[in-house]
Amino acid sequence: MAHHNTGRHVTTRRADTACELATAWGLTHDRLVTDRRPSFAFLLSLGWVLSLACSEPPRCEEGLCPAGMSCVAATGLCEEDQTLAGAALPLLRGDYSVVSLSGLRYATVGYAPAQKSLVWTEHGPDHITTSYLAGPAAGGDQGAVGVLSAALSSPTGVPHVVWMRSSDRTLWYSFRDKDKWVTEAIDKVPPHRVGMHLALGLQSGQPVVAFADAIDGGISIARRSQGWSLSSLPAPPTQPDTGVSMGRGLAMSGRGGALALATYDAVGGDLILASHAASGWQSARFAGVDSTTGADLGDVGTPCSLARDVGGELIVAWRHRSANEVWVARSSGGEIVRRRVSAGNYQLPGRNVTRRRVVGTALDVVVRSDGRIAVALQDASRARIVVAVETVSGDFKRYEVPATGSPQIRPKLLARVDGSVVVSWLDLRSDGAGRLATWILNITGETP
Amino acid sequence: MCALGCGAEVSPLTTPIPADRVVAPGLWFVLTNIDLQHLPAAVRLAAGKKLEASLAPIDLGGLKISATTLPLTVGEGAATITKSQDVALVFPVSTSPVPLAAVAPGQAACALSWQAKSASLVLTLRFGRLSSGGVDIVLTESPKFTVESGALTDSNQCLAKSGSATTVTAHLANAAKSALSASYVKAARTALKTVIPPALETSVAVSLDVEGQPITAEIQTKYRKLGPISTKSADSLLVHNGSFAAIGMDLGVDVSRHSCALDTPPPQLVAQPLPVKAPQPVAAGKVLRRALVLDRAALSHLAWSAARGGVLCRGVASGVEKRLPANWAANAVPALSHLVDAGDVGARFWPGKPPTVRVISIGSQAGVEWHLPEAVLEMTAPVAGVEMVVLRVEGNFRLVIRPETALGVAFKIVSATVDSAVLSSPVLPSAAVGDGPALQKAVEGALQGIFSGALTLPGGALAGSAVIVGSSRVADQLWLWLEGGATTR
Repeated sequence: MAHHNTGRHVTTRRADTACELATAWGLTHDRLVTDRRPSFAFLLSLGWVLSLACSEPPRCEEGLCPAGMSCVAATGLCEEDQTLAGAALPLLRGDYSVVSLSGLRYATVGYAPAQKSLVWTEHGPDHITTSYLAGPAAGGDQGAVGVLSAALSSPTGVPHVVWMRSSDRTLWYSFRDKDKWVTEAIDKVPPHRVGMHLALGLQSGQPVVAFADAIDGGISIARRSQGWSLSSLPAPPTQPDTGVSMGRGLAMSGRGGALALATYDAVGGDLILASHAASGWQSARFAGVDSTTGADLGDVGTPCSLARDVGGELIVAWRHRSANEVWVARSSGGEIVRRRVSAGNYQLPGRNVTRRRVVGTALDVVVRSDGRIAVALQDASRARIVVAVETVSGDFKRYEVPATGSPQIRPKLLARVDGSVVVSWLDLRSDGAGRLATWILNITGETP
Repeated sequence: MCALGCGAEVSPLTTPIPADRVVAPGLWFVLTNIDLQHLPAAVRLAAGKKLEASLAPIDLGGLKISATTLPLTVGEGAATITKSQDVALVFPVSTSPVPLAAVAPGQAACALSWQAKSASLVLTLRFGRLSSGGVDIVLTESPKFTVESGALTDSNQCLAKSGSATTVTAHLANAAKSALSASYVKAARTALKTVIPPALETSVAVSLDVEGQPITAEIQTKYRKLGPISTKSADSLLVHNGSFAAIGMDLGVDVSRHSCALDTPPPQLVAQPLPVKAPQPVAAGKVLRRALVLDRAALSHLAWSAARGGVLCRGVASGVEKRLPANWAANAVPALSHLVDAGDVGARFWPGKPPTVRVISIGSQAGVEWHLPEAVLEMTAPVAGVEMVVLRVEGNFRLVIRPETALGVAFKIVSATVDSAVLSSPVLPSAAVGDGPALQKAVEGALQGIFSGALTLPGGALAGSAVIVGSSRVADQLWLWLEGGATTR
């Protein structure tokens, strides 16, 4: 039981529809048990609602508790793991990645500011293990490592990680060969060239690293194939020629020989999509500008995220910054279908007034095993995480991550083979570091 | 705030706007006695101080006066308001001696000359309602050209036999009148249309997209004569009270409710009559100065309309940082110092109850104070690399805006404060967020960032391309002194 930070998480693996409804409205089980000073009336009313809404008691299942917690059968609650409780699980700062391992296992990789190191945490069904890939905690002596990192896993579950060493801003790459990590310098990237954004993709099984180029500007691509090579991403033309500033916001997604990259042009305020084939890179403005008239459609494209569906088709999610909306696009029957995922609307209690929360300032998109899209959104107005899941009708149903008592930032999603979605985020502390938290979202009740 | 612009679709209004959404009159155009004299000056400038009139050959029966040109010099004119409340423009006109040639068949040309030492052109124009229902500026009678002191000098007795000196003189006067009328009538109508644009009388429905929601704004403006309503439709709508000439305008605005706005009735304030004497503008007038007078009743109705239409539900994703010191967040909320990174600062405003406005004095000028009760301001900034709401201020906001010396009727926020505020930070749920000067500074910067360059009254056409050169406050009325501009049609 956490007394000093987030409180207790409770998750149920098979929440029924009524429970999902309650969850979507923020009436979550854990609010019942984690609110520090709930009023008696509040507890009574909430208990009444939940007793009506949920047909089964809120019991956890082994392996489905948040990071650092274990399911205690006697209570049915996720209790903090005594071996990894609180401070034992390193705090993270900045961007981090969640990668799928074999089965239902997954791992997170990110920067641990206290250790100034890149930390790798594996979440198994009954255990969590932490190790350091690079930096002082891993025996390195070159200062902070991993402030910038990206990771993914291959279809066979092999994790690949790329990170930056702060002292000289050089790039490094690791992959796991069975139980050992193999690390190498991306030696074709000169020191001090890596900017503030980084992405990793796999093309034909080989890692491709994209980074904001601090010296040349734009985006540079490091590709591994019998050694590393370096090239630049061509910028799409502008009309009129106002220049391009790419790199703020970066995402990559590969499948087989296909590789796609999404980024944001800060000059035009446009989302740029690029694809790589044998002939090289081709890039185009995907959103933010009317493709017919050339009219500016606002500040669009940061942040952005990419995913692939089971057929390998690309899914793009992005924020329309000036409209404060989150959009997703997918290819369907040769046509691109764009849908608005969220505009952040909410009703003012007791008044017939709708306001909008600032949403999508961080986001992540995945495709579930049933082919439907799930998008995790940052609710920046409340520092909460919302997951929007595509329904049969193509609309998006929103699920709010349980309140943890801490501000929640940087959502990440991982779709698992059993149809569930692992939702991760950081419970923000007042020093800017965050404690990794995880929620398992099961969606039932709909026929694929 | 792009109040009624930004890709709007305009269509005619099919039904009149309900009376409770009309302020009658809500605004006035005022021409002081001094400003009236700008009219002839502007007309003369546009039409030309020196003109040439073409004299066609004059056939006097066996004798012809050859074609020639008359050089006309127009002096500084004067404007008066007639008893019938029309605008009379009087211009002194003179010519240098015009050499003429009288030619009889088979004879040598005989030389004579004509000069108008003193003549005048009088144009009488009316701002009135036409039988068609519209308003326009029309001549109440043909321009008058009178030669007060002129002479036909015929020392060679060219016309002695024909006895047609009067005929020649009349032809000469007509030629001068035609030339002057062609230029001066057009210039006079243009000048008057600039100061009191007939095109402002309108009745339209404007479809807008406000924050992703379709909103319809119905606008109905109608010129009206002050004082007892005239029964004659052709009467002048202008009224001169000895100190100034003025015309009123009923202002009707009805807006469909945006979902972000409360459904509240219009303020329904009653406009006060104009004062007997116009205030003294700070700056001396130069070109076509006039006053656009907005009563608090109209300002309140416009504020209600703007709020109802969602125009105040407004935000910016970035740019506020330019109006704030680098360490604004730490200054406002010390606990934010470890969280907020440098970068874009955005802000979003949600109005609560409808705003109330009052006209205030700001030094020697005038301004408007907006009171926005129970509103919410959210400020966003990067936190651990993610754009987050870092400050939420809920309370009663006050915006003091003053007319901007700029094209159109634009306002600038000179101060913004919040009182009775509830302060919180979503990224610091348990930290105390104190009030203080730094917070007020942050609020001011945020509101300026949100509304900067956007506080333009509906219909920039109210001022055309005029320049605001000053403002005055008389009780609950805002007098905006405008200069220059162009006609709207």
